Amino acid sequence: MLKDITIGQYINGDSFIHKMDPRSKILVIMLYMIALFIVNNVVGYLSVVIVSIVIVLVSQVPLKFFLKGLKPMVFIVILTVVLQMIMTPGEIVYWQWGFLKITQEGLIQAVFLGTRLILLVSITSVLTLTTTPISLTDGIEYLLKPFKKIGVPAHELAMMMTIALRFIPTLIEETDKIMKAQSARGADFESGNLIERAKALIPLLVPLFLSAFKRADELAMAMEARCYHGGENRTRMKVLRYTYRDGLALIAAVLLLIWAFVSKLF
Amino acid sequence: MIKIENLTHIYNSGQNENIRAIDNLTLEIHSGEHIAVLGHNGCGKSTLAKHLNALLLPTEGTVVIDDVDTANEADLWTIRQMVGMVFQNPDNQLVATTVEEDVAFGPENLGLAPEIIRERVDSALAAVGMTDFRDKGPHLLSGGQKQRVAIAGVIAMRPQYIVFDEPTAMLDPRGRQEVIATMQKLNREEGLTIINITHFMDEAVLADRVIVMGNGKIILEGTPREVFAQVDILKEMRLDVPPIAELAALLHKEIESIPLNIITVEELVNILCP
Amino acid sequence: MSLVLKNLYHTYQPNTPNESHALKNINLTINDGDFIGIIGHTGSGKSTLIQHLNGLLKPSKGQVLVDGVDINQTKGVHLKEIRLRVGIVFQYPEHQLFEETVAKDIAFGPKNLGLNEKEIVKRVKEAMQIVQLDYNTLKNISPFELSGGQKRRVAIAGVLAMKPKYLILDEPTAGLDPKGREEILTQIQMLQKELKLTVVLVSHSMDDVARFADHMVVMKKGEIVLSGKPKEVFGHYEELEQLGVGVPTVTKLMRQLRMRGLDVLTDIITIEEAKNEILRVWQTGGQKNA
Repeated sequence: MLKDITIGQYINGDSFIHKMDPRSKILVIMLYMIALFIVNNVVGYLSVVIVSIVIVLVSQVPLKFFLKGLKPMVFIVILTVVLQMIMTPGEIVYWQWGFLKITQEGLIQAVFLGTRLILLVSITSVLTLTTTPISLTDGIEYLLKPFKKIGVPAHELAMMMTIALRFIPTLIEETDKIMKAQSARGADFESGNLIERAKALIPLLVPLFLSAFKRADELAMAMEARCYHGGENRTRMKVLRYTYRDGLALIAAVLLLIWAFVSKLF
Repeated sequence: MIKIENLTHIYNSGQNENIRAIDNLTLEIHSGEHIAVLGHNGCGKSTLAKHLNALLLPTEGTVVIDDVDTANEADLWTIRQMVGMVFQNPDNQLVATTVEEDVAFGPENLGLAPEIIRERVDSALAAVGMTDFRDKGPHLLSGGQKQRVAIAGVIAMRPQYIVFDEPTAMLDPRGRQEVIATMQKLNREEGLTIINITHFMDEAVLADRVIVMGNGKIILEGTPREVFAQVDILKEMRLDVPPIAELAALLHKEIESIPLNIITVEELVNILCP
Repeated sequence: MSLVLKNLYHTYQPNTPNESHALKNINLTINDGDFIGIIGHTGSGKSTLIQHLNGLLKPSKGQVLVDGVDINQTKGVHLKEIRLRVGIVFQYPEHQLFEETVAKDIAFGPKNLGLNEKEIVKRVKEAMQIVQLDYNTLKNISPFELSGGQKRRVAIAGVLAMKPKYLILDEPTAGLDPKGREEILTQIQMLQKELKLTVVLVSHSMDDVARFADHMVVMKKGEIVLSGKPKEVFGHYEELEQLGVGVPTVTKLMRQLRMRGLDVLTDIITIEEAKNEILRVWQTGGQKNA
C-alpha cells in the first residue's frame, strides 16, 4: 500500500549521535564527505571505512536499516562499478573484448568508487536515521541564518520543508483514495502504452492538485489565525544547544579531514 | 465580551453580482457563554466566524472584542491571540510534524520564551488529553484526536474566546464525542467562551444560547429549549430538529398536556412517566 | 443473483511487525434488491470490506462472489466488467471530480466502458435526472462552481451512469448540511425503490441506517458482530452502547419509558413509530404504575 511509505526514517534511540545537535551533525557529515572525496589510496580508504564502521556502531541503529537504505542504490552502484571496471585504461590487462577490458587500475578504481558510494549513502543515512525531520529542519534553518544577509530565506525554507514533511503522508493517502475512486469508475492506470498511461493520469492529477491547493489555502488561513507572521519575532520551544558531544565530534571530523590529506602521501 | 454591531459583509465575486454574506447583523456574546450557531451552508455563519478574529474585516459595521476593534490593524495579533479558531478539516490546520511541535506553533508565533512555551504546550496537551501522543506525527492520529490537537494549539495561546467552525463535520461519532466533551470542559472548567458553528442539533442542545442564521441574518435566537420548540420554522428552513423535540411536537398536537419545549430523552421520560 | 463474501480475511502488511488484520472471517450475502446498512467505527474494517466487493482489494483468504463468480480466482474475469456491475461511491466523492464540465465528468465512467457517444449522452442525462440535477442548465458548467451538495450529486451520478446493479455508498452524507443530507438520502432510497438497485449503505449515523436499511451489519475490529433486521439489531442495546455506535434516539427513549413502567414496545426506530406507540399506550391508559 502507498500508505506504508514513510518519509523521514528516524529510528528512536539514545546514542551519542542521537543526542548530538543537528547542526553539528550536518557539519560533521560535510567534513566527512570532503574527506571521502580526498582519499585516493588504500590507506586513505581503509581509514575512512574504519571511521564509518565506528560511526555506524556508535549510532546503535540496527544494521538492517542501513541495508534497507542501500537497497534502492544497488543498481546504480553496480552500474557505476561495472562501467568503471571496464572503461578504465591501464597497463595490466586481465580480460579484453573489443574495446572493453578489465585492467588492474580499473579494478582498483571500481572498488574505490563502490566503497565511496556505499559509504556516502550509509553515512547520510546515519544523519536521517538518528535525527527527527523536525530537528533536521531546525538545524538547516540555523545553519542558513548567516546567509540571510545575502538573501537566503532561511526561515521560509525551513517552514516549507516542515509543511512538506507534514503533508507528504496525507497526500500519499489521498492519491491512494483518488486512484481507487477512479478505478471504481473504470479508469485503468496499469495498461496501455506510454501516452495512454500519461493520459490516464489526468483523472488522478487534477483532483490531487485541486485538493492540494485547497489544503494550502485552508492551512494558510489556520496559520494566520494562530498569529503566524513569518520568522520575525518568532521564538522556538526547542532551542538548539551545543554540548561537549558536538565539540568532540567536530574535533574528530577535523582530524579525519587532516588525516585524509596526509594519507595521500602514502 | 464580543460586540457585533450592524455587521455587513459583501463578497466581491468577480463576474456575478456582489454577495451579501452577512446582512446588518447585531449580536453580543458574553464572556463565559457557550453559543451554538446553526444554519445551512451559505447562510453566512462561517463568514461571521472569520470576522471574530479579523480573518475578514467588515464591509460595514463593527466587531469589537473586549474594547478592541477588529478593524484596527495595529491590534491584529492581539485579536488573534484573544480569539482562537478551530476549523472543519482536521488535516488542514496542523502545521508541524509532531503533536507537541504543532501545539507550540501558536505560542512560538507570539514570541514567548522557550520555557513558557514548554509549560503552555504541556498544560494544553493535558487539557485535551493528548499528552501521550506528544511525539506522534499528526497523520497517525484519528480525526477526533487531530481535532483535539488543533484545540490544544489554540488554547496554548491562552485565548478568552474560541470559535469552532464546524469542528465535527468530518468526524465519526466517537471523534465528535471527543471534541464535544473537550469543548464543554473548556467552557465549564476554564471559563472559556465557546462559539460553536455546527449542523448537529445534539451539539446545539448543549449550548447556553442557540442562534439560527439564514441569508446573513439571525432568524431565531434563544435558549435551546426556546429555539427547538419552533419545530415548524426549523422544518421549513429544512434544518434538523432534535428527534425528541420533533416527537414532542407531534405528541403535543394529539395530547395537549405534553409541552413543546422538550429537548432531551430524560425530560420526555419524566413527563410521560411522572 | 447476489454478492457473497465467504470466509473473507484481509491482512495489511502480512509477515511484518506491522501486520494488521483488517478483516477476519467475514461471511455476508447481499441479495438482489436488498438495502443493507453497514455500521462501525473508523477502523472497524467497513471501508476495507466494501473495496473487496469490486476487486479494488484482494482478499488474503476467502472468496468474493459476484453473481456466483469468484472474481479473484476465476480465469478470464475482467475487473472492469465487475466494476460495471458493482459501483462504489467513496467518502467525499466530490474529491474525484476532474473534468471541465459536469456532463464530461459524469461521462468518464461510461467512456471507460467503451460505450458509444449516443449511449453515453443518454446515460449522463438519466444519471443527472436521478440525482435531480438539470441536464440542460448544468451540463456545460464546471463541476467546481457548484455547491457542496451538488458536487456530491454529480459524483454519485458519475457512478450511476455506469448503471451498476449493486451500488455501494461509503458515508454519502458526511460533511453535508442537513438539507444536503436529506436530499441525498431520499435519492438513495428512490434508487432502491424505483430502480430496484441493490444498495449497501456504509454509515456511522444510526438514524440514517435505521430509516432505510432492511438489513443491518455491525462491524468491530474487522469482524461482523451483529447482523439482522434493524429492529433486531437495535434490540442489542447494551452491546451497541459498548461499541460506541449507539441506537436511534427514539429507541433509547422507548427503553427508558419501559424501564419506568410504561408498557411500550421497545423495537421502535423512527419518530413516527414512537409517536404512534406512545399514543397507543396513552389512549389505552396502559400505565402500569410501577
